[in-house]
Amino acid sequence: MLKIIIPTIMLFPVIWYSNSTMIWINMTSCSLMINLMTLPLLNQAGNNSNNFSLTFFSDSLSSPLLMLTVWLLPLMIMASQHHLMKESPTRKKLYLSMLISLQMFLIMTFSATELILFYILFEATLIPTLIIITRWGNQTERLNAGLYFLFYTLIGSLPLLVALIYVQISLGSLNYLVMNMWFQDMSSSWSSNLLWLACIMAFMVKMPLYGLHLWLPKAHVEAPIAGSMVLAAVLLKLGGYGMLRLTIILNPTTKIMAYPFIMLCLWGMIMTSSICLRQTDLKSLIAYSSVSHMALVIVAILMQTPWSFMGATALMIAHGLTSSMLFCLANSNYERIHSRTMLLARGLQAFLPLMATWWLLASLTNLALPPFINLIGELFVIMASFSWSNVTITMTGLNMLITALYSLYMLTMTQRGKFTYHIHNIKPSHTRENTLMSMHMLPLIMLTFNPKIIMGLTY
Amino acid sequence: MNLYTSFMLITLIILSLPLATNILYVHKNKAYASYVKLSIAYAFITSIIPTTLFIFSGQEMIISNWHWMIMQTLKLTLSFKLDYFSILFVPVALFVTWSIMEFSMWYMHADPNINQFFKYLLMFLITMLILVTANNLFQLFIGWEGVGIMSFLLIGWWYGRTDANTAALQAILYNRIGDIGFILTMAWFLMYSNTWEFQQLFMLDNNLDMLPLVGLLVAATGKSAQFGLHPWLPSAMEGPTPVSALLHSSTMVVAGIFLLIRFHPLMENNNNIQTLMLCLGAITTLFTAICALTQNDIKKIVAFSTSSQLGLMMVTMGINQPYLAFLHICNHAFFKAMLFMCSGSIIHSLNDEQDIRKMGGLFKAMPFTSSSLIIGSLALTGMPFLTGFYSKDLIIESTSTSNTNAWALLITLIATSLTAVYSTRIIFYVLLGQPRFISMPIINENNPLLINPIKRLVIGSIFAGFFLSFNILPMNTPQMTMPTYLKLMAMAVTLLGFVLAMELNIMTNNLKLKIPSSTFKFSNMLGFFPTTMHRPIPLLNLYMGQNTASSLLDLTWLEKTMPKIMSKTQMTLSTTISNQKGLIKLYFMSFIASALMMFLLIS
Amino acid sequence: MVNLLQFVRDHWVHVLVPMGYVIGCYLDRKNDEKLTAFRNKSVLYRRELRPNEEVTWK
Repeated sequence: MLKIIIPTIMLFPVIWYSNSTMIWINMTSCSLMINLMTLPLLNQAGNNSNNFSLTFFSDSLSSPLLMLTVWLLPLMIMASQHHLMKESPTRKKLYLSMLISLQMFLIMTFSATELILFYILFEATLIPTLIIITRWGNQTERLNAGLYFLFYTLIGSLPLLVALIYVQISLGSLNYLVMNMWFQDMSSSWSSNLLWLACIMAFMVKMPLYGLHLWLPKAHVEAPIAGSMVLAAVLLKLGGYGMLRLTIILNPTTKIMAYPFIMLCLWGMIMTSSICLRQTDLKSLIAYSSVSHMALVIVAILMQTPWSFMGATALMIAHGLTSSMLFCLANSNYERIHSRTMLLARGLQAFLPLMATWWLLASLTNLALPPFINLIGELFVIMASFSWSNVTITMTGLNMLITALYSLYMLTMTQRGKFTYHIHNIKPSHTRENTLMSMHMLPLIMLTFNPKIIMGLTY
Repeated sequence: MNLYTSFMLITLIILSLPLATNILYVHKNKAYASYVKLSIAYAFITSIIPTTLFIFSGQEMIISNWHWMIMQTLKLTLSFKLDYFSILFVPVALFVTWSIMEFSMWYMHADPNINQFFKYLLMFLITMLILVTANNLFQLFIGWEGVGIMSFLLIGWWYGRTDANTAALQAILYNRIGDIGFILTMAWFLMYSNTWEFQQLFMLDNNLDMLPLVGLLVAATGKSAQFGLHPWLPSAMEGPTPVSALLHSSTMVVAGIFLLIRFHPLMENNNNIQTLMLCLGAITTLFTAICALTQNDIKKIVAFSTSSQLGLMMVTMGINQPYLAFLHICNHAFFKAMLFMCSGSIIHSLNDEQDIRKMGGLFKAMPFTSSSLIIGSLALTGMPFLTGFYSKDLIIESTSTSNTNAWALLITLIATSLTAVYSTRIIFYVLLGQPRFISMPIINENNPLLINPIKRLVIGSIFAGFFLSFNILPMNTPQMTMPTYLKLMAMAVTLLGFVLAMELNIMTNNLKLKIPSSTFKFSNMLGFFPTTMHRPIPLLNLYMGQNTASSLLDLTWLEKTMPKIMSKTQMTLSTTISNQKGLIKLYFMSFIASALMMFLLIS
Repeated sequence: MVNLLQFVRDHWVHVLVPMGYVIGCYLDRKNDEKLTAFRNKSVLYRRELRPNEEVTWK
């Protein structure tokens, strides 16, 4: 694993010793190089994990997420070029350093073998994210958003630390690889219910669970483009990843404790989708759609069947790419219209036809058009929940309907209709932007042809 | 003989070639439209070969070639099922599309994005063929969603128009409601049959629960615009006329019925689902026929008649005659596509005028279109020995001889008679009488791009039914004998409709209009469906989204109960505990007082 | 020559990431060797040593 982490650390000198004119080019090319180094991880032969050392490993659950993290860095760099155009070189370098440190922490989080190490790094990712949001956001509300982001996550995760220390004492080890073989059933007492809550709540907040999601729309809306991308694409998946890892030691309490949470998720999924239908703010809409998709992932993880695990993993990757692409598109609109209000951007198809194609593709993947991997994820989750209880199909089906509606509503509002007169003199779309969109779309299409590499542990 | 598979694959490859030219920039030139048309014509010719072979030998086939993935016990492969239905439908669809492509070269010639339009139509055709030839539920779902999305794009083709966008979104909304049923069926089959392959599904237990079958019915209701989910079809007429001709008459809307036909082996022993289908179909066919009676938009009338015919197909499924329903799908494709093309020709000639009250007397101005329109209408009403007769008459006969409930039969008969009424109305208002249109437009229908496709479909509307029913064996025994009055029933009600409509039309021309009666209002307002069902429910949802979900819960309760209350308690606590109240004057006062006191005490 | 020097000065930073990779690979390899050093002590993975071959731990 050092062969990925050390090059990532090396990105710091790359950025600080670069010519100030060459920052973007150097960073993009070097981070793409790291992608090449990470690519072999996707080849997971057999059911075993690749243990790189006593601290780091990767298996078929973490390697797609690792790859997603690494893949997103060049995309974030490309996306924020316009946002930072007027900043001085030092500030640009500082900003990029934040992104790099975030990537470094994320890589280590996804590949840690120890739960305590995982916990520390999980918390460490908050710092660069917080700085990105509160320093480089566009409006004053960013400070409030940063506060919400920090406090929700911290309050959720502090009990986890206590729980982890307890587990360490009772089991003797917090190593995943050992825990797999060494877990004992939890006793059916009140205290084990509390332990379950302590273990899961941190990730529920991070996902986020409906009710604990207030930080997410705020943070997404206020964050600069790179912040929104990485939040939607990777940071939310930390929650899913953690839950998938931790549910191993939480048997059989999950069976009982899952009920209220599954209910809440199914309900919240519809609620957040309905909110999407009434949003006028583009970034807020995408943020709420993330909440609704992540609710499906929570449902899937709590159901604890092989199919639902497959669906959850596939949906996480698919949603990572899709939502990040939607944020990029929203940002490219914002750079031209200077407003996030959808109505002001209507009729853009007439001016930017290629961008309209990207919008179309992004909306279609967001509404889970077959045979994209988004559909595979959603379909498996729906199948799993159907076999858990037949009634859930009404909720999941309704959510499918509303998802399609708000995705296409978003497309219609921004691309269709009569254009307004204030957009007569907008810039054409740059090659950079088109490359950015295609770099989101290509992995989605390629994974559609071979979805089994993102199916996770139970494939 | 493996000519089947190879020719079928050649057909599909030929069709996808024009899409591949995207990479080569060939599509930038002017000839792209005719290139697409030509490739569809070639595909039609190659697809004729397997069909002929099938008629000759009756041999069914499966092409199974690419493993997509294997999950646990479920294998998903790319496989095509070439059986009776798909192998007959493919050439019909290709033939109709070929004509429509040529027609749209004429209709859309002034559109700057005509190449893109053709690409969309072609992509639609490919997804439709995927749907028809799919051998497992997942592949069928790909086609199913694909045609839905392509219909969204094509209805919203003129994206500057608000109506077009609304109609496109509406189509997706109703189709997605159907998709819930589809997903339900997929989930059910995965759970209980553990497979999505058709062969395995049909081989397993045939006495199913109602649940998956109802799911299928809901899916078909959405896609085929059956009662309850029908309003999207007339709204979809906002799209360009070629789109209406291709998607909303001959191919996409029959997908729902096609799905039911595919799953017929599971339904043939289940009486409940058949009764459901019968009643749903009967209601649809009557309701939409009534709605068609008083519409003034020519495309809307044809759209409602399509919906009515789809209801008739559903009735046929309800009386357990999938082969007849399939025959009606094929026949219907010919004359309905042609009716749309005729109305497109009229609309185009009259400078985009769609109101039939502003037409009239076109018999002289557009003789070819007029005669085609009349042939199409007669075929639609089931005039003997035109295409519609061969399926429609059989459907009515087998309905009336089967031991179904008389209510459904009666309703179907009334709807059949109404078919004649609105057809007469179109002919009467558009073709006969005095011209009521403005005299400016130059009416010219002598364009080979217009005449040729209509001509081909006219020939189709006259002979296709004969050829199809002549060459294809019925798969279950048709009713051979019946009393004369039953045999003549279909004819009689249609004739009755004609006579009635003629009388009424002449009467309305001569008499002064009274205040519209409530029946008229019912028909003209589409049975008050939009005001009672179509608008309030989404409105309620949107209100819920705004008031309950967003304002009440998200912005108020969740905000108040967690972050706000937390900060508030902290604030109160800290201010209570702290002995610093910020009362500077008081502190100074007490300081001075105590200092003075000390001073006094000491001194 | 001057051009080359200029080029090197402008672009030497690109060496860093591959260098990091090489270092990382080296350290990983080292770590692997350390972890597998006692392999021949385990009953499961033990094998006959070839002549002239020495044990991996010392």
